[in-house]
Amino acid sequence: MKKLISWLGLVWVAAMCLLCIVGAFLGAENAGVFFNTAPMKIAGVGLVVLLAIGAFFNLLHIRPRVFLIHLGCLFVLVSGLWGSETSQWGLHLVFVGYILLTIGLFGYFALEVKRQMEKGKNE
Amino acid sequence: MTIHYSIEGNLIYVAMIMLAAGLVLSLLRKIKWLPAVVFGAFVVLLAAWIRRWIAVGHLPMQTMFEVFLTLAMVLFPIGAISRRLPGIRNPMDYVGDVIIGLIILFPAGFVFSDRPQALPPILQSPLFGPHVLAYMLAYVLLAKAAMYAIMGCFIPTGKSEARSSKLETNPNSQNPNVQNGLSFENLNSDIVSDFGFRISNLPNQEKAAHYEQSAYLLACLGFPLMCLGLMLGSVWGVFAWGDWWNWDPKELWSLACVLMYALYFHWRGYFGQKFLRANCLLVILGFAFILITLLWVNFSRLFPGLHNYVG
Repeated sequence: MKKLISWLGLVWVAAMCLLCIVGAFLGAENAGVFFNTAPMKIAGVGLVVLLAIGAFFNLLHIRPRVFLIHLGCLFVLVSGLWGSETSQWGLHLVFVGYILLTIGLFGYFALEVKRQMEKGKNE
Repeated sequence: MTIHYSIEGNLIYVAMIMLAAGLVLSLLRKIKWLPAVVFGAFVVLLAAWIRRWIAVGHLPMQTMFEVFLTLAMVLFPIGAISRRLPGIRNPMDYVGDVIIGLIILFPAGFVFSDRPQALPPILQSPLFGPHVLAYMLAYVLLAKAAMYAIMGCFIPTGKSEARSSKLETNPNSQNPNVQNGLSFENLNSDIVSDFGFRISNLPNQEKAAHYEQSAYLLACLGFPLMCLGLMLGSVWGVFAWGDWWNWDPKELWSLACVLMYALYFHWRGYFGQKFLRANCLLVILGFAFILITLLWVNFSRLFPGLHNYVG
């Protein structure tokens, strides 16, 4: 079992590394969409589970430094997942009761802005 | 190819001449002069760095010229600190510093423009210094790790030698002198000289193990600094762009670097020094990713993104 988890950890980190490179070639906008697809969400949750196992395993074997590294990574990843758009519409709504607006559009008329700026300049 | 006529440009050439002299001295086996040469080059580069700071009016870490000048400047104090690690205090480390210094200074002296640039508003943040400096320190440490990994990788190790040293490189050994599979007991008794480890007398397998161990120690120092740089960048991203993570190509390549070294540490933690060459190759691959992040992502039009001001 220990061997299987170790290999799973290795393969998972290698896969995430490769996916990062693929994402870099896609460009920022497409990479954002790519990493928010369902398989990528499952991969993210899988990494959380593996990090938790890694942290628990190192706590069990009294290796405080390695335990803290895993805990730190777990904290960053869970925070990232909590702050993600999917979590906003799911977990946030259920547990917090409201969502934090992360992306939105602000519409304005160019002429109106110009008029206001000119008005400000005249004053 | 350009020649710089500025004061800092001339100081870079002086440092390059000193380092080239150091390389010649090492070829002539007059290694005892190398610490003085390396220190002299550091003083000259520090003067160039301070002169640049005064000239541009902000921390000189914005353009590629400034980044490479900073990398070369921090190389020598980092070398002095890393030589305090067990096993790294050897003459080869000074030679490595000289070679890495020359490689870093060449593009700063002859390729990148030294024209001062105003700091764009997005870089006018208190996090600019810590974020870039953390990366510079990490890159230098990992460059040194890659140098040791290259040396460890290309040492011919026969199968018979590997078999004979299998017992000694067993990671599960109960001997307290065996650290990460490398027997320091043998090293201490046989090859300690007034300069540190005289590794040239070792059999090839042990030599490769020694270089791999040095690469591992340096990667252990560089990796947390690289993670710190990434985290500081993420905090800066909130203030600059309103989000912790923007899936920018530079961010993704930086994450790939961190994951590559994470893969190396997991691999090494799992197998120890059983596969020396694979360990070394992973360190080299990690450094190749750093080069891509530092150079290709900044200069290639393949990766347009939020970090384009760097190039």
